[in-house]
Order: sequence, then C-alpha cells, then structure tokens
Amino acid sequence: MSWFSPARALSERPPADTVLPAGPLVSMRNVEKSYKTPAGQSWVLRRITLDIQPGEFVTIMGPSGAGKSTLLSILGMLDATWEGEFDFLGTPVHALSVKDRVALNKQHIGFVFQQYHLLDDLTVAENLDVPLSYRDYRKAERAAIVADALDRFHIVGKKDLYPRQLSGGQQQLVAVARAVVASPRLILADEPTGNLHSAQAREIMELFTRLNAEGTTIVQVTHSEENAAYGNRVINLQDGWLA
Amino acid sequence: MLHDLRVAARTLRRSPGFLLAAVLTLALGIGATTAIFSVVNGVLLRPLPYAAPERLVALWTELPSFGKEVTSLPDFIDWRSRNRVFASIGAGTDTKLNLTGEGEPERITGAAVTADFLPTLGVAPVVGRGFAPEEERGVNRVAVIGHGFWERRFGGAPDVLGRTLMLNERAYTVIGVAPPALRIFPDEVDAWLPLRTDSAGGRRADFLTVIGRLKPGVTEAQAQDDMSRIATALGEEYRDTNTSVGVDVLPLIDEVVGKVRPALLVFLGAVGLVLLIACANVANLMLARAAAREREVAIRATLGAGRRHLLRPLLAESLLVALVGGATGLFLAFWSLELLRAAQPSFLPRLEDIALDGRVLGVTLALTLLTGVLFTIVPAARLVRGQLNETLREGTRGASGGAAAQRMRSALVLAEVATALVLLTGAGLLLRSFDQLQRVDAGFDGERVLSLQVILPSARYGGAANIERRRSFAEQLVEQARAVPGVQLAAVSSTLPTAGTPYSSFFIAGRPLPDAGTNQDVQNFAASPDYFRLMGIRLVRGRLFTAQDNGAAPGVVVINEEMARRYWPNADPLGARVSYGDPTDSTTRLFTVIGVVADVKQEGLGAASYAQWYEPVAQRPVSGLYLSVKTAADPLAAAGALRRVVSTLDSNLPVADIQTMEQRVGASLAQPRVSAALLGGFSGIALLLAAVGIYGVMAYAVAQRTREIGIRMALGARPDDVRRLVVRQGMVPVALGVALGLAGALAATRLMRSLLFGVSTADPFTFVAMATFLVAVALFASYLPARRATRVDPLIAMRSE
Repeated sequence: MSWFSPARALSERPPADTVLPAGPLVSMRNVEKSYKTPAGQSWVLRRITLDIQPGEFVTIMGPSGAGKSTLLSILGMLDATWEGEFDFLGTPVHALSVKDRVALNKQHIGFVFQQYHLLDDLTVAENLDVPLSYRDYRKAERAAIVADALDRFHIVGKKDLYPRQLSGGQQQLVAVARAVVASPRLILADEPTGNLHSAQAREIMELFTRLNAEGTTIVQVTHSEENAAYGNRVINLQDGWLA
Repeated sequence: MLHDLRVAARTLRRSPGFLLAAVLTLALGIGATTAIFSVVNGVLLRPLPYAAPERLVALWTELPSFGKEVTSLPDFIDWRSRNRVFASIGAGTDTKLNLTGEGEPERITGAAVTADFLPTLGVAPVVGRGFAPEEERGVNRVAVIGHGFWERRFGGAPDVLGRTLMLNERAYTVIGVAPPALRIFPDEVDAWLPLRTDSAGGRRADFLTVIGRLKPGVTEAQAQDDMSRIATALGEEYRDTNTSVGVDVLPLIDEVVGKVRPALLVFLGAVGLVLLIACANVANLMLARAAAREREVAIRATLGAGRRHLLRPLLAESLLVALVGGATGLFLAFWSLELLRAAQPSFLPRLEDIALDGRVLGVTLALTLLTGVLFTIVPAARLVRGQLNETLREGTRGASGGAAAQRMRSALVLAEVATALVLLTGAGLLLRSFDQLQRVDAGFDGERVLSLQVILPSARYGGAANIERRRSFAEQLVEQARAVPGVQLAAVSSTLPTAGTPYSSFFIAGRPLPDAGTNQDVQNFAASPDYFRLMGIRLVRGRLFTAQDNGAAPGVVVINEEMARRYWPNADPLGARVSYGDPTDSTTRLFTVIGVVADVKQEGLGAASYAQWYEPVAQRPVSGLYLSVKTAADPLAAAGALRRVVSTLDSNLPVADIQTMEQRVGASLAQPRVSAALLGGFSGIALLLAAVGIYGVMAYAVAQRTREIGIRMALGARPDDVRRLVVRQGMVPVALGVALGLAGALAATRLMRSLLFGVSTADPFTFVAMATFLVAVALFASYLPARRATRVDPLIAMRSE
C-alpha cells in the first residue's frame, strides 16, 4: 500500500504560493566557505554558482567531504558563515540579519534528514504541530492542518505514538509529513533514505516525486544513483567545486 | 507555556536520575534558605506585635565603668516626670512567684510593672482592665494574669475576674487577662502585678526594665538628647550616685532580638552560599543535559524556531525542576521549623513569630523562579549559539562538549570550591570557638550535683523580724538533704554558677571612698559552709566558712582571685575589711576577708571574670535559696526525695528549677553549640554538593576524553599517567577555588567576630585545616573518574566516536 494518496493531496493541499516568481527560486553566485586552521585556510565550498528554478527536483551528489551537506545547510540558511551572493526568491540572503534569515527559512523551507530527527518526547501529532507552532497559525487552525496531514499521510492511527514506537520507514514518513506540513516552497532532504531498506526508500522517493509534481521544489543530497533518478537534475560536487 | 511544561514533565520522567539529583540539590539549597529566612523574618524583620512598634524604645542606665544597666526606681520616676519626648513611659521587672492555695504549690513567672507599662506597649487586657495609677501605691492588691496562664489554669473562663490568687502567700484579685503573644521579658509572664512606686530605693539599686513610646514625630535622636539632658541634671543633683551616669535610648526591637541578630545574619549568609553552590551544581547538571539536548534544539531551529521558541522548552524544563525542588525545599523548611519549635531553644526570642508566612513564601517562590531562569541561561546561551548544521550530523561533537563549555564547567567548580571553603572556614572557627568554651576553667566542678530553688515568701519569712526563721529553714534544709540516701554533700546558696547574680557596690575599710561615678562593685553570694567543697570551688588561701561563722559571730567573707588581684594587687587581702555601706559610718556592718577562692564563671563560660564575694548564709539568710546536693550516683535520682524534704519543712513552698549542674552548663552553651552545629551542617551540605559537583564535572570530562585517553593508552600511557592527567585537569580549578575561597573567608569571617570565643577570625590553623580538608575531598572526587579512565579499553574507546 502507498502511504500517500496523491489525488487527495493534489486536490486538498493548500497551494504553495498562488503567484509563482518570475526568476529562479535559488540563485547562488560565487558562494564560498572555508575554515581557518593552523595550516592555513581549509576550503569546503569554492565559487559555487547555480540557479534552481521553482518546481525543480535537484539532486546533489559527490564523494564524502565534497561539501554536499554544507551546501544544503547554506541553502537551508542554517549556516551563516560563508561568502558570496545567495538570493532566495529574489531576496538577498547574504544581506539579511540572522533574524530575517530565520524568518525566511521559516516561511519557505522544510527539512528531511537521514536520521529523521523527530523529537523523541513528542507524539507523532505533536511533532507535526511543531513547525506550525513556530508560525503565525491559530491553535484551531494548527489542529486542522495537523489532522489533515495525518490523514493525507495515512498516519492517523499513529498520531499518539512516540517516535521510538515507530519503524524507521514510519519515522521518515512522519519526518516528511512534518517537513511539508507548513507548506514550504522548498524541501531540503539530506540522505533521506540512508537509514531505510529499499522498499521503504522507494516509497519515500515516490512521495517526494508526488510532492514535486504538486509544485514543491526539492533538493536532495544522496549517494544513491537510484534516488537521483527520481529528480530531474544532478549537481556534482568535487572537493567543494561544482564538477 | 503550559504545553511546554507538559512536554518538559514527560521528558524529565524519562531522566529520573537527573531529576532526582537536581531536585534534591535544589531542595537542600532552597529548603535551608527558606528555613533560615523564616527565622530571620519572624525574629528580625516582622514588626513587634504591638501598636506602632517603631515608636517603642528601651531606656537603659549607662554606668561609666559598667555600661548598659537596668534602672533604679528613683531614676525612673524622674525620667517619667521630666521627659518631653515620650507619650508614655513604663517600667517593670520580672520575678518568680509562689502560687499556692489550690492544688500543688507552683512557681510561676511574675512581673511587677507600672500602671503605664502595658499601655506604653499599646496593648490592653483582653478581659477586664489594666492597672490604675493609684495601684502603684498599693491601693489594691490586684493582678492581670497572662493569656497562657489564663488558659492553662482557668481554661480561658471569662468569669476569672474577681477570683483570688495566692501569690507569695498574699491574696491578689484578678482584674484582667493580658493579650496573647506578650513577650517583653525572657519568660512568658503568668501574673502581672502593679509595681510599688511609693517606696523609694537607692538610686543605684538598678532593677527596672524601662520602655517608652515616642510622641508622634519625635525621633530616637531627639529622645536621646532629651534623656541625656535629664541624666546630666540628675548627675548634678545626686553627685554620689548619678555623676557621669547616662541614659541610652535604643529601639525596642534591638532589645528583643539584638543578641541573636549577628548569628542569624551569619546563618542567612551561610545558607545563601549553600544555595549558590546548589545552583552551580544544578547549572552543571543542566550543562551536561544541554549537550544531550543539542540535537533537539538544532531540529527545532531547522523547523523554524526562533530564539524565543528555542528557549521556551529549556525554560520550561528548568522551571519545572526548580518548582519541584522549591516545593520539596519548602517541605524541608516546614519540617525543620517544626523541629525548631519543638526544641524551644531558649536563646531564640520570638519563636512564636516564626512561620512560613506570605513573605517567606514569596521569597521562596522568587528564589525558585530565579534559580529556574539562571539554570536556563547558562546552557541556553551555549545552545542557541551552537552550530546547528554540525550538530545535526552524527559523530560531530556539539557546542556543549567543546573547550568553552569545559571552561564554564571548571569555572563553576572553582566557584563552588571557593564558596564551600568560606562556609567550611566559618564552621571551623565556630567549632574551634565552641571547643575553647568547653575548655574554659569554669572554676567549679558540677559533676553529680543537683540543685533546686525555693523562695521563702515574705509574708511569713520576710523582713528583719523573720531573720531567725530564714536561718533556721536554711540550716534544716541542708541537714535533711544531707540525710537523703546517696547524698554526699548538701549546701544552700543565693545563686548558682552560670545562673547570674546580683551586683553590689562595696567599700574597703581604711581606703578613701571611690570617686563618684566610679563603679566598685562585686558579685555577691550567700552560701553555706559545704558549698565550696560541693561545687569543687578551689580554696587558694586562707580558710572557708565553718559552723562558727554564724549570725552571732563577726561578719566574714570569702573573696575570689579576681577581686584579690584587682583590689589588693600587691598586698594580702586576708584580714582586710569590706562593707556594703560607707565604712566610716559607725552603723555600717564590716566583713573580714578570711579566704580567697578560684574565680567562678558566673555569667556564662564566655564571660570575663568579675570580683566576687561569698558571705555565710547563716550571717545573710536570704529568702531565695538554691539547695544543691552532690550524690554518689545519678543525681536526678535524688530529686523526689529533695522535693519531699522541702515539702516536709513547709508544705506551701513550691520547688522550681530542678536541674543538674551539667544541664545548667549545657544550657549556657546552647547558643554556641547550636551555632556550631548549624554552620557545621550547612558547610557539610556545601562540601557534599561541591564534591558531587567536582565529581560530576570530572566524570563528564573523562567521558568526553574517552577517545583521547584510549589513544594515549594505545600509545603506551600507563594507568598512573592517565590518572595524573585526569586529576591534574580536575585540580586546577580546585586550587584556584581554594585561593579565592581563602581570600573570601578572610573577609567573611570578620562578620563573625561577636560569635567567636578564644579564637581569632583569621585563625591560621582553621584556615589551613579546612583548605587541606577541602583539597582532600576534591582529590577523592576527581580520583574516582580518573580511576575509571584507566579502565578504558583503547580499542573500544577509539571506536566510541
């Protein structure tokens, strides 16, 4: 069985944005990141210049240490210590204060991690509620959105369980549900199937495909060629450079 | 926030070890602080339970070479009539009364007061009336009974008015019942009687406690000026007695609580330090916990949480821990106050005012919330600054595991050690002081001595007419007590060692009269011949009393060494003649000094020696007598027989104050003992908390360094090297803490000067001993994790990250 009913999702899901921007969703120009070490400057990312259009499903690939996760962190505005220019929906992220970056992240970005990163002491329903509680939703509205998400992802029966009571696949499903619950424009997924067996991995990737089909832009980091095949563009990183 | 609290409760339930450690630590800190604060609040901060208590003052006579003293009746009458600053002024003195008539005779506490005494306090009888001014002149023989006595003796019956009380075998009519909580004298007064102000006494027969109520708008300074004016005038009018004699005007609250204030403030400071150590420990626990929560905080941040959102769960958890700790602490405080009330320490005034009232609860809640917020700030500051992206990648050490966090933990250890050392040093000084007090040569040996008090009522025994009756009673009392089985020696005396004593002016025949205003006085006793042997008071020279020193024989006295040193520094006092009155007056009775005995610590072990003299009770048959016996075995076993002896001699005489000398000495040591025990207890808690803190930090540091230690061992490090490495790391903040603590202790112990006896506030022995002790405890606390570090398996350790 599938965890996700696309027909229902397509019809009932609130639109990500009614007016799509004219330019790229993400535009990076010469983004660089380095650390100072006793031996000198150690580079993680070098002169990254790329555009990601709304509705794309982009895969970032490359060997370990190539800078994939760092790039994802910068895209997700979790990392503020880099140089260069980065526009998100036309807003210059490089010129924003920390507070404004948090606000931009909050409004438009959802995350999915390899380790699921659900909050252990919250139930499934409470985990879904967390992103909404950080946004300007009224309590009743939040309850309705959570109920809808539980329904859409067929996890109503699990709503009062804690993450430790779920299998890995179920946990990642909840993590994806949590990532999309606040209707982000962009989902960033770091090895989303790294801890799942192949059947579960396929289900999650199909889920991403459907979300992408609905208009959500997806950027995933993966080592898996099979997962990369679900996307429509692959960006390769080598020693911090775009290959 | 409610949701956050609910989630915090759920999270904490899953970490019972952390919860228990944090709650117990806080409960100890908050409990001790609340208990001591409620004592400070009840004793020092709450206003006295009288109307407009801020206008109440105590007035003292200031004697030039003696200091603060109670006041004589003639002086009081002049103060009352001449002052311009008091709305009213009253005087009184407490006394013991024999209550007879119905049932067993009983010794009760009485107070003779002027008619305006209770009105000055601003209290009125709850039933009946107070004294009328003419009753000061003996118009009626009336009594206002104490509230407690009314309930105990009359069951609170409202028809008590008009009943007759036989007090010292005289009939008094009850005219009123005093309100409850009226504690102006050390003991609760059972019967208030009018003070006779029509019989003038000497101007230096000082026995009255004087209180005044300032007129509205008059300050203490103005009152002091006015009373000094009166004192100067009296000095000119009565040169013999009042030259250089001043008046002190002091707030009444100081009078009631002044003696315990320094000790209470020291205790409050001490528990404050305990609370600080507890907070440091919990902050350390929270830091370690924050390391475990970094992942959660990072996840929340990626889900869009702002700083406020990130802080809320941390704050909720800290507040919950603090609230549970605070509530447990409050329970501990409640329980310790119950213990305190049950113990009824006699040195602590206003015991009935000590309670967990609104102010105490408010302070506890504030402390709890403040500590809750403090615990949040430390870990939250670290977390919110953390690198989220790194935290979310496995295998990367987060911000709380870094060098900065370790520095913060070390700083907390340093602070804990310094604070604990201040407390330990304070407690050490009190213990040394207590030890010194116990080593004081009290000048007597009270082993196996039991004493009781009888007061011969003046109705049948008073005055010159009954002198023979009193003498005969004393003789028979000693004789019959000696016949009690097990009694080896029996004696009577006017007072007992440590029980206080009257002071009298005296003169030395053949010497010029002392200058007016110079005090030449002596603690005087009456005692029967065996008293010295019974009390183990050593004869230094001359002889003691014999049966021949009777009423018909020439007057004799035995003086103490202090008196001999002070008044005959280069001469032999034996044979000298002394007197209470002017020796050149032919009617003055002279006493010959026949012996010198050792000094007896009459006013408590810590008091300085004073001139003393003893007269044979046969020559001065006093009406207030202590009967003492030395027994072969347990002295308390003789109590019943001694009561029967008194009752056989006079069935209307109540027996009071039956105690062994050991009990009396113990009571006089109660305050220093309790002080040392309390501060010892607080510093014990502080030491335990500091040790736990050091252990926790070291254990955490070792856990963090497991991989490094594994590598070092793989490279050939021996267990000793590893132990040294770990212990060295732990002892650096301890050494710095000890240095800081010693400096802090030097400053803090100065505040304890008034609590110490025979030991300096900077006693090097105490400072060194306590620092060494603390270092030893710290070494042990860091040795345990160090030992565990040596058991690290290099292979496992290197895989641990």
